[in-house]
Amino acid sequence: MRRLCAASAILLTAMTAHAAPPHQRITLPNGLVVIAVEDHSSAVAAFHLGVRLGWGTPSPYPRGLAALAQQINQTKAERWLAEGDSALLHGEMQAGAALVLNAEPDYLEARAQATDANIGRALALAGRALFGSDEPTEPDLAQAKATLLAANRPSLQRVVELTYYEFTKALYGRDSSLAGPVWGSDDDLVHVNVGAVSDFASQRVGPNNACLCIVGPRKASSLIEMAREALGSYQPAVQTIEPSVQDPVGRSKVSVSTLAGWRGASIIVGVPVPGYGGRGYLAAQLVYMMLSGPDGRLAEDPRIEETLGLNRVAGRRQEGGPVTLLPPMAGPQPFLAAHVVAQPRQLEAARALLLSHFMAFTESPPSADELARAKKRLVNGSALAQLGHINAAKALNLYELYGVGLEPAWRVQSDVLSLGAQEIMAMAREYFARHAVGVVLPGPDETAGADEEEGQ
Amino acid sequence: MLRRGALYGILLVCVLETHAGAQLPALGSGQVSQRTLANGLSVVVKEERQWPVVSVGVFIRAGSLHEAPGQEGAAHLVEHLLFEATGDGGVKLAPEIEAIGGRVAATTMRDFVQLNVTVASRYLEDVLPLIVRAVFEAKLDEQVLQREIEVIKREMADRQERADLYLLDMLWRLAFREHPYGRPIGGRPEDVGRLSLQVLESFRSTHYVPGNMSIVAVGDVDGQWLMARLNELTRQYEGGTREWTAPPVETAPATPRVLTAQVERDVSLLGVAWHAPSIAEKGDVCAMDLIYTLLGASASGRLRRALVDEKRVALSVDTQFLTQKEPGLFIVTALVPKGREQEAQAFLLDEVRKLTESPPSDAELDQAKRLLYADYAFTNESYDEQVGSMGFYESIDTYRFALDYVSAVMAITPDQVRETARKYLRPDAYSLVVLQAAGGPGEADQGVEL
Repeated sequence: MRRLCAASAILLTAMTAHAAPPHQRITLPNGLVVIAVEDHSSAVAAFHLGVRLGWGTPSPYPRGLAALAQQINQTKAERWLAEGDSALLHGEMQAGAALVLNAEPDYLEARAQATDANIGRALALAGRALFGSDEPTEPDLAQAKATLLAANRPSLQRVVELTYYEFTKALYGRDSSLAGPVWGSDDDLVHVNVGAVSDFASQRVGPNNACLCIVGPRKASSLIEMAREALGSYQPAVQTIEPSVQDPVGRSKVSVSTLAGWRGASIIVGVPVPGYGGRGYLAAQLVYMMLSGPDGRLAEDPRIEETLGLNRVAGRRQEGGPVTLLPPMAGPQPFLAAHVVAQPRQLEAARALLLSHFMAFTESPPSADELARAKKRLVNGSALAQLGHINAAKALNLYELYGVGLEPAWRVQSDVLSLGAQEIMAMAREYFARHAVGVVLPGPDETAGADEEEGQ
Repeated sequence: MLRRGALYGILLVCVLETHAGAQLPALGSGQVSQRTLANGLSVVVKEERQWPVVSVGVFIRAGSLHEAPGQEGAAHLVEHLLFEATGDGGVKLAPEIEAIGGRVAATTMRDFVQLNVTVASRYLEDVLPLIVRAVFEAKLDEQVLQREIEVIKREMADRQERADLYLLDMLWRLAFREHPYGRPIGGRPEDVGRLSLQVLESFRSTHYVPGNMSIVAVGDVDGQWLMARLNELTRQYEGGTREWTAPPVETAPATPRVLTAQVERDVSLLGVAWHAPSIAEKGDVCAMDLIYTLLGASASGRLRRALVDEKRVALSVDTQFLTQKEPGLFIVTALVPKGREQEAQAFLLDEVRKLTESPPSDAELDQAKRLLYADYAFTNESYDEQVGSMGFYESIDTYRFALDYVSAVMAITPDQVRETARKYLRPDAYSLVVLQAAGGPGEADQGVEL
């Protein structure tokens, strides 16, 4: 098996001005893709293990099962930490080591950091939690349900989250797996049993649907060997899930709900953007850079005060004003959005104002100066995001998870710097017309949202 | 907080395999070079080419230790002003770096001031002149001065509101009656309010000279290029000799100093401080870091076990030791239920006394070494953190200690731990502050005036 791994290894080399760190990418016989990156700058190692299956992945199982399974996996992993060899890793956690299992919209993840001596132990625990045959127990399931049900309760503190759910319903469609509460409804959760969790894991959660990026102070071949030892013996899941980046479909929509005790109008206006990893996605990130920050278009817009009556206190202005921008994030259908809380009678004015900022990019290209500054911000932001091995591991692994391949990862800076104003405007024209709006208004209680199509 | 380092070598491998398992160098294996420029500026570069990022720190030996009478609070205020100061072309350092997506931070310590900038390496050449001009040329502005004085006063008021920080300030004042370490790093509100531009310019012109500074860079940068570029950018600034003499060392008290005060809280706070080794005593520093770890740096620390788990006289216990240029403090703090202050104090002192009487077991010391190593590795993972560590030690001694530290710690024996405890944690040589929950029973105020 070792010879097979070595033979199938693809040694990648630098393609850009800045040389990529030494790394290898292989596929283990059980289907797990392993990316190993040498980084000898410190004694810390880290990994990101992702499975192409999240709470937003369409499936025949009750909504929320992915999050529930990960909640149980986290509990199991914490229990195993106290056992035998893992105690050394457990001791190190007092100093900064960590192992986290989490569910994202379309992938499950295990991420960890530890000193080089203990990273193999963390990897073994993550593998056992995700791919192992340990059955969930009734108490673990009950505890996980209680945690997620508590998180589902609507409250004034969660008004932004509720607005986000309405926005996702408008953007993806009310029936989309990506719309609404991430862990499903209370009904979904209550009816899940141990058998469903086990079936979900064996059918879908397996190394053939997963990829691992490990960054550490060893030769790439040694990191791969570590991955093979920890994860190589797990069997593939029954079903294979192909990586995908989907472009959005549908027309512009608005989704509205109400919340008892809420007095304002919470509104998110957003636009879809091109899929993760490509030039279009970077163009959308540049749009975000031009809108955000202390000298961004939103912070400079006097209409926010004059039209909406929103107070721009000094501290908030430093952050870009009362409008919170949601940058494009890795996801199956990325978007760029803005959130603001306004007086209910100003709802339409707020919607129009936020939308006008997105649509401005479809009407005229940014100036050379503005674009140059945005590029600097994006290049710096992407470079700084790699500080810390765990961040670097996740950033690289997302390219693999979405099936984009590693090549764009090494090219980010040169791609950003080569984007022109016309290319940005073309992207905006193609995508921004299909905008979505999510709103939470005052009401007697939280009600089911109502979709309405919106004319252009 | 500690600053520590590691260097991997043949000798170290043997030591580690004996005591705590083989470990990699905590600061990695990148090439480190150092050069002192003709004007006295020390430049340290650690080349790490994995990611297109570079972090640069400017360290100026101009902390609160260096403030003369009448300058109290100047170190912190100058740091604030540099952050906002306008250099050539009206460009402000911090807003400019942040506007292009870089990261900028500044900190004032007792021994030095640190200014740190992290950017994509392709922009290093653009930001270097900004950094140099901000440090050497930035104009201190009266309007900005008044604004920053108010900012600092608000910071001080916030600090007063936090009992844990108030306790620490009280401990330092009680332990150091003459030495500048006894003053709050930022000065007192009345000190800061008195500071004028003239005083600040005087402080700055004395201490902000190349011979009194270090620049440390870690990341995707060519060391030779950086040194040449810094030479070019700073050669117009004279090295100068700072007119500053270290204040006399203040020895530990011969008998306990005690201060008790009432505070409006539900639980009491207890703080005990002993005078601790300076960077000049490196063996003692390493042993003291192990003592810090053994006693309280984890859930399994002796103080936590004794005071929280077994005796239940404290809700939490914490230990602190920061290595400094001059002898500083080893501090233990505890959150104590109202009415249990005297018991907690007695048990705390008893646990410390045990360490002066018998050495820890090999197993306990090995565990402490592993924890210390891991803590150091995690606090030095990224480039900016490594800049912080090497610059920290370069400011008070030499950057080399950041690299050599772990090997020195791993060589410490149980007997050395005991001897260091005996030397510094003497039974009567402590300062004690009790912030007693209002209305609770307990000790009478022993009336130490501060």
